[in-house]
Amino acid sequence: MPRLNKKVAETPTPTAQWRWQTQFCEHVARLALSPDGSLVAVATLAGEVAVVATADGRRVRDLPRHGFGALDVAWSSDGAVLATAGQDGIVRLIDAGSGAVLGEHRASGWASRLAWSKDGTRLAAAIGKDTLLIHRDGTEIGRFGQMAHTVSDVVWSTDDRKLGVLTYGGVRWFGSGTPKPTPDRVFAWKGAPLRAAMSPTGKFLVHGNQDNSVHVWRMSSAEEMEMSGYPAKVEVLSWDRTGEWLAVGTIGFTTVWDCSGKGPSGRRAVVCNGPDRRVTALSWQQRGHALIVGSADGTVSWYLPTKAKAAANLQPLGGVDVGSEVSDLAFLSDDRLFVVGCSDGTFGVVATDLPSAR
Amino acid sequence: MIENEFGEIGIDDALVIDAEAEIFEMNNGCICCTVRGDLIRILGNLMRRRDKFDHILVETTGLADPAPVAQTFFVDDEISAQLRLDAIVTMVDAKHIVQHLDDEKAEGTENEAVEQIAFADRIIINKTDLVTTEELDNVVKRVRAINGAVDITYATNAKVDLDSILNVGAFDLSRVLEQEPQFLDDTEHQHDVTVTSVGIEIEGTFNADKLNEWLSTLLRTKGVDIFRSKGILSIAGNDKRFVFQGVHMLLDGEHDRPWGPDERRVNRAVFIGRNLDRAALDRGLRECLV
Repeated sequence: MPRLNKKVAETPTPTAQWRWQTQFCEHVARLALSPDGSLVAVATLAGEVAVVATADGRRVRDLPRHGFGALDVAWSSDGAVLATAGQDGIVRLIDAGSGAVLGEHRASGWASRLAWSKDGTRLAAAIGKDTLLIHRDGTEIGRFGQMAHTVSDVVWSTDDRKLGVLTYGGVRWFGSGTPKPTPDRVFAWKGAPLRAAMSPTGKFLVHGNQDNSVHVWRMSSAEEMEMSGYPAKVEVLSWDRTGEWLAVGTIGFTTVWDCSGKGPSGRRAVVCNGPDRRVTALSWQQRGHALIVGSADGTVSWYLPTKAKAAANLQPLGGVDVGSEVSDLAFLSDDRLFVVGCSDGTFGVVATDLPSAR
Repeated sequence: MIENEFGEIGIDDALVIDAEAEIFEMNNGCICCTVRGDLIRILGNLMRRRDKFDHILVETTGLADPAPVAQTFFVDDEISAQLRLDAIVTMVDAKHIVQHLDDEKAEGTENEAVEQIAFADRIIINKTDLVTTEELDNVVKRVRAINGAVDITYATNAKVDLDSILNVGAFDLSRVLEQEPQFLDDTEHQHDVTVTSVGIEIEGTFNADKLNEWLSTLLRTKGVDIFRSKGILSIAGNDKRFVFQGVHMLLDGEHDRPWGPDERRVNRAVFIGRNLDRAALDRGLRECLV
């Protein structure tokens, strides 16, 4: 009987062998690796923000808490400044070396998303319906016009000259100099975009949406493409470093779109089959082409999508059980180890069986 | 909007949203996919916390459209996987409700008071000390004319037993049908109302396929006008009661407890909405019997 075959095929995912593991008292909301990979900053829903050494899990620094919960954390590209945001409506810039607070800014609503310009000079922060532009020295440059709806994400153009502000109704594309109230361009889209990601090549701006779709804008022509029919709202998107692959996590699987050349239009995605539950986090290798997928069922699986596998269903190359719903993860620079944070506060570094990049 | 005034876990002030509702309509234009973005954000965040909740009370303003609030619990996959809409409770001001029900509304706009009563699974008529018995009777009549299926509780100073508004089980129709058996007849309403309710009681068992087909067609074609639907049905070949509740075109159903060995398999269904055709609903449902 097919049922029997399935049972035989189902081998339990092995328990993760932790390189080190630590415990926070609440759900890990976000983690961010420092540019050199030596440190990882963690934000939890209890409001804690901590900096931990990736080598051994040593707690290097505790940063000021965010009342009601920390939601995001982000390093400037040189690793010198760390930004934190939380439900208290506050965004803080912190000198990563000394721990000194360089600046603190607030607006009405939750401070939910942070994005540094690529050159590391400016931080964009979404707080409720406001978007703040903050200099790395901690001073506020200005605010973009208040939106009619809550800002769900902020995204920089690859040349840092533009800043996209996502709200219900589309993406407003502002000049990133001194904030002006009106956008240079509006990518109008009827619906609620949740998360945006700019391709590293600058060719495509994509957003995952409440209505179970992914919308793609070709930046040169504003041509639109849409990938619909996902079984759930789309909040987990990740570009690989080349900008050729876009991974989109959903319930039960991850689609990987080939965006090289003329783009994903007319192509079929590589489907990475995963556990039945929601995909909660994705990370690409820093040098290689493997993708790790974290799931609400507490497993992390890895895949190697290739063009030859387009339209195929990929099974994971390997996987481990980290014990609790994955909330965020990232490959370390050796492309073999990854750091993972979970919904029960479990946090640490785990090895894959992928070959090391070194 | 979500506020915790009792209980030991102090929930953040940050959860009280003072801003106006964020209503998200979808690209497909379907009104049933309209959800509350603010609610998704807050509930999503609450459910991530390690402190788990027994119940969450969401308080809306008196002007809120109940549909997007209710639909959020069906449409958003993350919320629907973790939370169940137990009941919609509407508090009615006994002194002023009649005046609001009689408000003339501009063409194309809804009377919020009528809508909030129509959507309710339970109604608390408050400030009963401020009205005479006759006035109160009139309020009850007006409420029943819109929503015959609703369970009514009376209060002064909004004092109600929490048990009467928590764990209601919106589909639990047995109690109200005991209280208001005439609801099943097409009673003559005192006022000419377009928003009303239809209750149907039939003995027998249903063919699951036929019922599914009829219900989905009904809600697909008439779902804009059917605000709420709910019922307890006996399905051929299944020992358990099938209970369902819906908001507009969205329906959530499951098999709950088994029918008792001596229990009469009485099917009960309720539809609340605009311009309902009782005869057609009754006939349609009967045709799904085995």
